[in-house]
Amino acid sequence: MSTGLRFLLIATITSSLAWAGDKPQRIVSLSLCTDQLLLMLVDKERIAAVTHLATDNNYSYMWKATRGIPAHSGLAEEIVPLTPDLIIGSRYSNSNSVSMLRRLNHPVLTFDSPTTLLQVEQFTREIGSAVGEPERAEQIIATMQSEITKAKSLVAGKTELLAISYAPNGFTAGKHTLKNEIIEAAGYRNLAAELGIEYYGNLGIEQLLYARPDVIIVDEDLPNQNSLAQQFTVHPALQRLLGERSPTRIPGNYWLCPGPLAAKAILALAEQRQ
Amino acid sequence: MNSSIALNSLLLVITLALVVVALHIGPADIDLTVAIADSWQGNNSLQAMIFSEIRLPRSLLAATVGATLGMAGAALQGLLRNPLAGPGLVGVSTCAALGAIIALYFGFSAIAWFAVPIFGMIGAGISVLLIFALAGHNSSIMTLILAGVAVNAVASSLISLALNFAPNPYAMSEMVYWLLGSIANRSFADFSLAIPFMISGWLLILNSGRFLNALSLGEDTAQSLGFNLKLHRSLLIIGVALSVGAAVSVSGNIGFVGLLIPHLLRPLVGHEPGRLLAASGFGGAILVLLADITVQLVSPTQELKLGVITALVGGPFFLYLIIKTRNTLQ
Repeated sequence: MSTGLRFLLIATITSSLAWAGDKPQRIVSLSLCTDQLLLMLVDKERIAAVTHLATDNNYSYMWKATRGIPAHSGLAEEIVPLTPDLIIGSRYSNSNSVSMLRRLNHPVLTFDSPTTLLQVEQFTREIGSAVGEPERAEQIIATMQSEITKAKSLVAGKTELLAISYAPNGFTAGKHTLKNEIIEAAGYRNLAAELGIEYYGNLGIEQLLYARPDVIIVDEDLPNQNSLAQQFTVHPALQRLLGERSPTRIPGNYWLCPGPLAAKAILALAEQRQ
Repeated sequence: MNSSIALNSLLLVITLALVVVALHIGPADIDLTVAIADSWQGNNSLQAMIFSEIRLPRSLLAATVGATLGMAGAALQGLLRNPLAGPGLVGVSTCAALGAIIALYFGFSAIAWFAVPIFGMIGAGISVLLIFALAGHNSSIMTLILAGVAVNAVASSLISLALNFAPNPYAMSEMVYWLLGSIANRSFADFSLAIPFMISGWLLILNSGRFLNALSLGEDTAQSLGFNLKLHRSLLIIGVALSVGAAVSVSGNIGFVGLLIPHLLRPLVGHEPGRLLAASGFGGAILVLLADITVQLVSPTQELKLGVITALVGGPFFLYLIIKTRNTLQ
């Protein structure tokens, strides 16, 4: 669906709601990214359900706000009995549930995941107007902008270091990703982008060493979690490469979901410039 | 005896040569002589880092894991007096993987650093006992294979079950690793964790050479030669469990090595099960080193799993063995 068509759809739904004289009161969100924004935008009385992931602090920054809100696992069968008056979700996730809910005449809006900071603002505005809280959306955007300004002033004048985000399985983010913008906004050059990785890619430990980044950005450890994938980020060779310095750690839930939390990730990275 | 020393020396030379070849292979372009010199002098250069933190542990793991699987195959074939026994086919590797999986994904490895190999060894031990109970020590080939199929089936579904319920987002995707095996991205920490157990297992297995020679003449003969069957069998089983459990816990389940290698080498050692043990150790090391060199050359970016290569070689060989022994099966 083109952006224009989507706006038209949002406009129709919001205007029909305006005609009903009310904002949506029983909103269901189908993905972690829309969950978190929804929790920032509207009071919890108006949220009928969020995903299970939103209640887990490993993945969700807003997990505390989910207390008292029912959690679902994405099955249409769980969502229909909630009699939602608006369902929001990310494009490409839960597509079976989305098409079933649409067949059952539920109003479902899906949104593209933002890949730039500008798109994050658009994404926030679109969801803000869909749920009838455009002012709250503008407040969120203003906070974002002030956090980014603060981050930029912290790193102003410092030499540009070469950084790479390194996640389990050697997963890293290159060009055309929000993570790339986050890393650059915090005053780093993104090694993955310079190595020619488009979107996301995997980099072996030997390749990472050979490329010699100054800074390795890893997510904070999840407690009591272990897997072979996670052993990439604690490989002894990484520590040996960094020498005296330690890897830069930021909470995974800041940038797992592309959204307004990106500003917190930028600020956290800027504050850790060594 | 002299021919045995000659054979083992030859195999040792091939193993060492392959270790050197394996050290040269990797995505980064480094000068190995510089890397070794830097490591030796304690220089923290990039070359030294890649050599000592990444390539050396990987090559050493390929050699020692392979040696374990080859030796365990020879030991099981001698112990069960059955040419189709091997740690993969009778389910020892799968059960070891199950143990390691439970330790890794359910938080036991966070409590005790040695939990993964210990659980692997317990898994391997249980499976050898199960095979013994199901197929007995005088079983037909058919009974052994069927018992192995059953143990493997149960253990691999328990692996799926455990990975499904593991409280970790990466667990399910790592099933391929556990079922097919790989030693990519392993560090010295993994190697030093597994090596003491592997060596203890090897010593127990190698020490049973004379017992296996006697056993090949029949249980009564072995007993009359003064071997305590129960004691020697137990020692051998413990040896297999220790070494295979530790090896699988750092490499996953690399199939067919333990079946293939003893068969290839048996004619060269004059069909003596005792002399086959050490030779199969070297043979296994050679096969896994070759497989690991192959996966790195064939697909450097998205690495194949080792089990794919060993199964491509071992699978047809297994079919050949079945055809050859078909008369015994009927």
